[in-house]
Amino acid sequence: MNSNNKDSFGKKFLAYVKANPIVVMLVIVAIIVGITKDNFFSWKNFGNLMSNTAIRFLIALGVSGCLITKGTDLSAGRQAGLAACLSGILIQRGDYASRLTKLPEMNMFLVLLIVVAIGACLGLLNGVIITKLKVPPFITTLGTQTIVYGLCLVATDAQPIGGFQKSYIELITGRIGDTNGFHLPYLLFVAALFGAFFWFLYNKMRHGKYMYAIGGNEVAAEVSGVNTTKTLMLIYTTAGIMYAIAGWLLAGKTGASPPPAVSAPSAACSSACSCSSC
Amino acid sequence: MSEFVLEMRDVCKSFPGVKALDHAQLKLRPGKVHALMGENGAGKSTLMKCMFGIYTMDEGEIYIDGEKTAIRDPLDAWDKGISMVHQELQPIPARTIGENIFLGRYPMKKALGFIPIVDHDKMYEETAKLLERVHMNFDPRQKLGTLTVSQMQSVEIAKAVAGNCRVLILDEPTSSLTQNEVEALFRIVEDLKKENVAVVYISHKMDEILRISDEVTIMRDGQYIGTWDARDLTTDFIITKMVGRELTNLYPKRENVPGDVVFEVEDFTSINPRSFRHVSFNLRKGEILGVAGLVGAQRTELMEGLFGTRSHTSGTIKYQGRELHIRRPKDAIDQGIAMLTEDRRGSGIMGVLSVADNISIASLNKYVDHGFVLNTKKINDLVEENRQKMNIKTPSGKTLIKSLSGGNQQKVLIGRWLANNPDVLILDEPTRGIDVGAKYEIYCIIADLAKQGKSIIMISSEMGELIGMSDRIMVMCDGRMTGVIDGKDANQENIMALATQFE
Repeated sequence: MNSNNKDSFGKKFLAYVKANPIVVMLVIVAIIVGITKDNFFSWKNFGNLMSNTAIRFLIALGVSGCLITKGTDLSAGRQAGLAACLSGILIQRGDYASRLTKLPEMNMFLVLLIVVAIGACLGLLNGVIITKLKVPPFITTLGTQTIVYGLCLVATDAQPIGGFQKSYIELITGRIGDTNGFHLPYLLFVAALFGAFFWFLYNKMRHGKYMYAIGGNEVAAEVSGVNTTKTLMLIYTTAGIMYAIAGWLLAGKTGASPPPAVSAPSAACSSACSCSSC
Repeated sequence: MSEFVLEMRDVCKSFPGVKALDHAQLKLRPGKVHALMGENGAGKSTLMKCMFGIYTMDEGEIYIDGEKTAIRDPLDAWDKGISMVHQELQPIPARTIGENIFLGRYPMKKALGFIPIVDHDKMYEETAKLLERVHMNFDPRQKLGTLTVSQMQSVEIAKAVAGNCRVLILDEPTSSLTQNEVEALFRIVEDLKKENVAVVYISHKMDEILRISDEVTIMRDGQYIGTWDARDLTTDFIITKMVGRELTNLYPKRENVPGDVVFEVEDFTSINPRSFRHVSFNLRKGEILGVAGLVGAQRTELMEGLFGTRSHTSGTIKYQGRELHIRRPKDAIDQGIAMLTEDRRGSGIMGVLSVADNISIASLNKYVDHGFVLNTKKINDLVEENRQKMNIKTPSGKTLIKSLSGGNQQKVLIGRWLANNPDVLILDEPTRGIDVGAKYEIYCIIADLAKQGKSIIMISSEMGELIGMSDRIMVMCDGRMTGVIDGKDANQENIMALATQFE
């Protein structure tokens, strides 16, 4: 009797491993790193991991729509990077010595609105090229990626930007609890909030159903009266907005905007989405 | 030596939730054409996939030349002389005929004595020989994409008979062929018979089966029903055995009464000069208008033009006296027009999505609360209502539509359109690739819709269906409308006369 139970547990465990290889790999990696690095299993590192993942999660949410409709967005990381750089430039303290702009010191939420507007425009640009000019998403976003990266270098003179308003950094790196004990970074709540919103959007609203329909069979969706052009434009625009929000948070989290470093999340986020959709 | 080249005994195969094969059997004689018949879902394809090594049998035995054997995978099957031409061709259009035929088993040679490279000369030489065998006069270096569908099929057969082919499986080989092309295929089959190849022929077309086959095995629900000599069989007998009940009528009694003209098309012309031009016709309330024509008559194109998936240069569409401006499908849908497309897989179902998603996609606006939240309960009610009304066989609304049979997929798509409560329904080949029993059910649905006062346009390539179901039949030839025949006066001859009225 006892061994029977054990068997079925073993079988269930094996079945789980087979069905979720990615989760299993992640656990293995965590264990290995935890053994070799003594501060890996600490509350401080936990908080750190959470806030890093939170920003990537936001970018991944943006990419997810593109992937669901059998597209892709290679410009995700660069767009987030541009938003980070622009946020950095605009949020510099008024009294900072090497300011990049002559504009007066701006409220950080005004800056968020500005970068979101720019992100929306870039996303819409992707959407227009894909739907109206019929360029495949891979090619389109490969192109816009380069353009966006160029803009980023021009805007920052290829220099890292520092000297942000103190309140901005404090807000974004803020947390509930003490850094050395158990704590939850604010970013985690932001990610959870957006996650919930996207779940609702994808599962409970027409837009989500239309997205899956386009991904399932674009011709059939069009024949069924789905406005595929509008839906796709909306998806890429939403994606642009998500990258901008992520970029604004990224700059505050790192405390500086180093332009070359911000391309890294792109690949990570795309693979995060692809893996979870498998 | 056994009298059978290949024998399958007591084959069982289960998939989660379904017993696809239940002690099925098949015995093939060399040099004979063996027809395998049954409704969709009867297990024909599964049995063939077991023979070809794509599936492993749960139970059962395979004998080749009387010796017990096992078939591990398609390559193993190929080595044992079994080849298969699949229902869905999977050609690589951008490569040459030769490369398609020798894909995966290229003849090799050694360059400089040691570097293995593909021996292109040998490959094309052998391709030329094979093409000759299937009566095709083509350059082996020609790109496959330049051929027509039937020519590609001949290439597939050439590929299948390369090597020591002893058993050839043809899975619905004629579903996309014209009459002339079918004749060409039959000539190839006759040749193969002379070479002592055993041919397994799967098809739904009775006249073909009775013409070409020597023996017929009938299956139902995964079970073996029996094998008969083809000479002793009649269509009625086969249908009775396939369906398991008597089908007294092929078409239901229609009780619809055509009323006033509600839908008028005048001088409708495509932007493509070789497509439909100057087509005018009208449609009455509660009428079934059949549309006949040969392949290439531009019937589908005309309907797609009306529905807004194709552009037109001139012409007007009037609905109840009002002129409609249709630029995209949504415009047509908003005006109460629905269109069931011809290519169920290409432009109908969204295979990876559920039945519920598929059935509700065209009418989601009706299932929204507070302007933005989808009402899952209402969508489930829609699925349930259709399931009962049309007898859709699906475990639940969450089932992926691709796992349903063709007939049930078609019912889901009809349900998708009916959810919008349209007044005009365009049905393009509504029963293509659907088995006899489900066909009858779909005819009943169509007849019932007409009785409810819906106006129906039905394109079909099956004469019997058109004559049996239509109040009037519009005939097209080469992009023009060549005539309209009253349903009562229609027969094969007067339809064909109009369908072949080339300029």
